[in-house]
Amino acid sequence: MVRTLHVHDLILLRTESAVISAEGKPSCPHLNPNQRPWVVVRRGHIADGLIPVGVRGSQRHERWAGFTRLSEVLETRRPDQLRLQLAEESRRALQAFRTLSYLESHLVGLDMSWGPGGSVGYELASGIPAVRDGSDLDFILFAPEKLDRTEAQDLWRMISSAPGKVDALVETPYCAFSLQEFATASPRKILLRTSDGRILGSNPWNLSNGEDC
Amino acid sequence: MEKIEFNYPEAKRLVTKRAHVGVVGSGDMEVLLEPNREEGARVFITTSVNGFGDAWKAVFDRFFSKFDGAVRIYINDAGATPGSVLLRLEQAVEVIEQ
Repeated sequence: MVRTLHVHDLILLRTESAVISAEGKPSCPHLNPNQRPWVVVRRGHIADGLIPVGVRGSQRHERWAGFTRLSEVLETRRPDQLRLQLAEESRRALQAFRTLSYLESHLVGLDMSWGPGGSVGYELASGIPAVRDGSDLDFILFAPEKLDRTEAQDLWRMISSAPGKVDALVETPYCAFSLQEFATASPRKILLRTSDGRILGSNPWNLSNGEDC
Repeated sequence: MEKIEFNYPEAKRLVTKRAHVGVVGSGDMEVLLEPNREEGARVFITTSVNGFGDAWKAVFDRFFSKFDGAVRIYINDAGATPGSVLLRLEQAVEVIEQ
């Protein structure tokens, strides 16, 4: 059974031809037919049963944005599920994976859900090597309730002491933003990534009232 | 990794403030905007995504068609979308014009 999908979820499709372009054409240049077709849910609206997905090819520049249908989804993995998955033993020494296990042991008391995105999430879901020597760890923190600025600063201080670079994104029910920017840019407006595009605002938990923080 | 530079000699208005906005994170960029000690404006871009020199030029041509400050702009880009580039530049201008 397939539950509701959210941005950053990794999904396994029935076939690689299940990814279609915005024009509805079944064409995805970067999915390797010899590998299981894992794609990531992109930020955007699910309209007419079409889910916006991102495809990762074998090269860094091989990224492709398309759509798929819910009926094509075989399996799904949320970032907080992927976090508990171990990388292949030969891959664990890569800095991004070491950073993930550092955070796993240092965020024990955190009462919010979190997990890896980007190349780390993709590799943990698919088993296809995607992480490189210099890869950052994309860290997704789910914050349904308002995060206090001081709490964010403490969290960012801890995260930035990890062995590798962490790109930390906070997901609220309305948008996403950089934890680093939220923790350090006070009291300025920050960049908010919404399903309708990016805006500058100061309250990620209340977009209609963005001026009051 | 690619480095790109542009010059806008017509941008001569004196600017005294400095702005530092944005972050180097996926799909975003960091902008440092400061007064240029010489006449005109200069832009220095370091980007993780190669091959978009023309797109950057279009963004800055548009930016300097409205903005005339004699500034140095340093960009550290991690694959910002064109929309984010403009938002970050507007944000930096807002800071120095306050």
